[in-house]
Amino acid sequence: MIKVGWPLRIALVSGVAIFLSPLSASAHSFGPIYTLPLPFWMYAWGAAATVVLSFLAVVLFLRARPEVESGGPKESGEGSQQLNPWTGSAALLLLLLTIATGWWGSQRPYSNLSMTLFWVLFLVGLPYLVAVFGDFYQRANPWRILTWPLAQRQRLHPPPLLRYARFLEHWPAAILLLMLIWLELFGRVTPAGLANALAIYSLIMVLGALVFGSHHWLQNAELFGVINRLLGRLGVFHRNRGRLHFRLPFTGLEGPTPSSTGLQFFLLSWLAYTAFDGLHQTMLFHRWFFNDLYQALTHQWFGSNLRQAYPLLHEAFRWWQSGLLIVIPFVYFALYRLSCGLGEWMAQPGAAPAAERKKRGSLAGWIAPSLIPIALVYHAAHYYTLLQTQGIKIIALASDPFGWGWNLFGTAQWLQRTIIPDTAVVWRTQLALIVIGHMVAVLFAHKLALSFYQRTGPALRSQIPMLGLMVAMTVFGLWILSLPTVNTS
Amino acid sequence: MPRYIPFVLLAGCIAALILLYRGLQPAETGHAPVLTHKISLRIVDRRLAKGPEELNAFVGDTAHISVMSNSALSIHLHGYERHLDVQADVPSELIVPLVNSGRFELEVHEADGQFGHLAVITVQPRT
Repeated sequence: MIKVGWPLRIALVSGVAIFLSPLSASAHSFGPIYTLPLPFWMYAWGAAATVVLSFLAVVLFLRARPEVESGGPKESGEGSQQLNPWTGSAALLLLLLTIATGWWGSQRPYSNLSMTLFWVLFLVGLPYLVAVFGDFYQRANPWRILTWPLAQRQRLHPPPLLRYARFLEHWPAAILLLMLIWLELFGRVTPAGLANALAIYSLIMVLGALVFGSHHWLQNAELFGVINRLLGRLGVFHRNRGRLHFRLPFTGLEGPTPSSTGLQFFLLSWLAYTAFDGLHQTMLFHRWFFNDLYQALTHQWFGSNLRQAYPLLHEAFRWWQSGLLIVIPFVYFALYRLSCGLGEWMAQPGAAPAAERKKRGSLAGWIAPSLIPIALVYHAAHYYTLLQTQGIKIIALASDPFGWGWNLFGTAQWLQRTIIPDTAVVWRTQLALIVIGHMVAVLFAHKLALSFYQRTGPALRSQIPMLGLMVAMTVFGLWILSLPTVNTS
Repeated sequence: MPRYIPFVLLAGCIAALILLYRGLQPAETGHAPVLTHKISLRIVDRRLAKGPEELNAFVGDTAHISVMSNSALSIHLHGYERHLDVQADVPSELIVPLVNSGRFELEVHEADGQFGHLAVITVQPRT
């Protein structure tokens, strides 16, 4: 086998990256988004800042030394959260209310509590609170309280019907995430449709807990639990052995590791879906399909008269988008694994023996938590304005949850006017979120690589392809935000 | 590497990024003239038959939207939450001071809850 020293490996990877760089240059179901595309100059500045700050990070890392020579992940208390019966029961009541209002309430999305409560507060507001304060969701998880009697029974009469196979890992949660995103983007969900989806999801949780055991099933398949557990690692509070501890923001990313392949895929899917959601609403994406692809290829199948072909083409567009939604997480996952594989290859000269590193698993699994800040800022940059435009309407909806004209708390007429976010503030917030998220991710990827290799040189070299990927993802995220969008109706 | 080098680099990078931000920032639009934009929409069978699909304006401008339809319907400007009830073959006008920036859709709303897209009003902030 030809031995290649690390300077040559860096030169080789840089050369390939430079060669490939020109290639990369080349409605929701609910909730109005009023924001305008990021101006080009802000996008350009964000891209420049990403590159400059990454260069700075690399220079600073040259001085870094591994903090724990003996290695081994820190204990963050992940997954050790006890369910609080009071908060859990309150959350279960809210879940039942969401289903009930969906089934029996008004079918106008903005008049029904269920849509705002689920799509805006539960899927947007709650994760941000968790990212700031830590994973309190596990103590109020409605599906944990729903399966609590099963968990008690299984504690007394083990084992469950089937053993949860190790290879399943977090794949059930990844599949459920795909279904949720499909429902959000293409499902045209009504309140009744949402209620049906939540009822089916609850049934899946109960049946899974019955078959595989409550603990294993909820840990690996309860999609919202997985999302909040990941985000909780960014938060300042965590529980360890039943006691609440304070830690600096983001430091929960340092442990425990490694992440399973399924969890890596889940994380990258989440990143990919947010990017796809932004991209599929842009004019460019529509032009690709209705203009470029049609001219180059599909006119042979749909006919050369675009006006006549349009109905069929429109139907094909729906399939095209759904297909891309399935494919895009695999693209992100492959790029991530490729970067990590290249990193391991570049780090080899001077790294500790493979047997010693094997105890820690693969680099991809070890540094995967560094992707969590990127996933969070992508999500926040795209959706945080929903909290201002629609989230606050929960105050009025609480008084009239079914949309039947009630005024239970006297707040039914509150905040009827939409509070539209100032565009200039939104642009600056999006820019700051994405650049800061990128920096945090780069910092922690390097810290984790240091704890993986226990040596500065190999750790730094292992991060070069990963840094390239993170810069590319950040610039791609900003670019999507800068593209003009199509009409959402 | 001397200890002060990272701090010098950090200061240099921050200064370079500030200069770049100021250099890239376009000239202020705050003093651009305040305009009144007049558009006429002709609706036939609840669809836009004639008129612009997009109106571009700055915060502080005013939109005068004239609507003529062959059937009675309601027009809704999202975000601004302004409604205009239109009678069949009777010209109606919606005057909206554009105080918020963003992208706002103008839609036809029907009694049965159905809606249809008409146009978009894009309001740029004055920086």
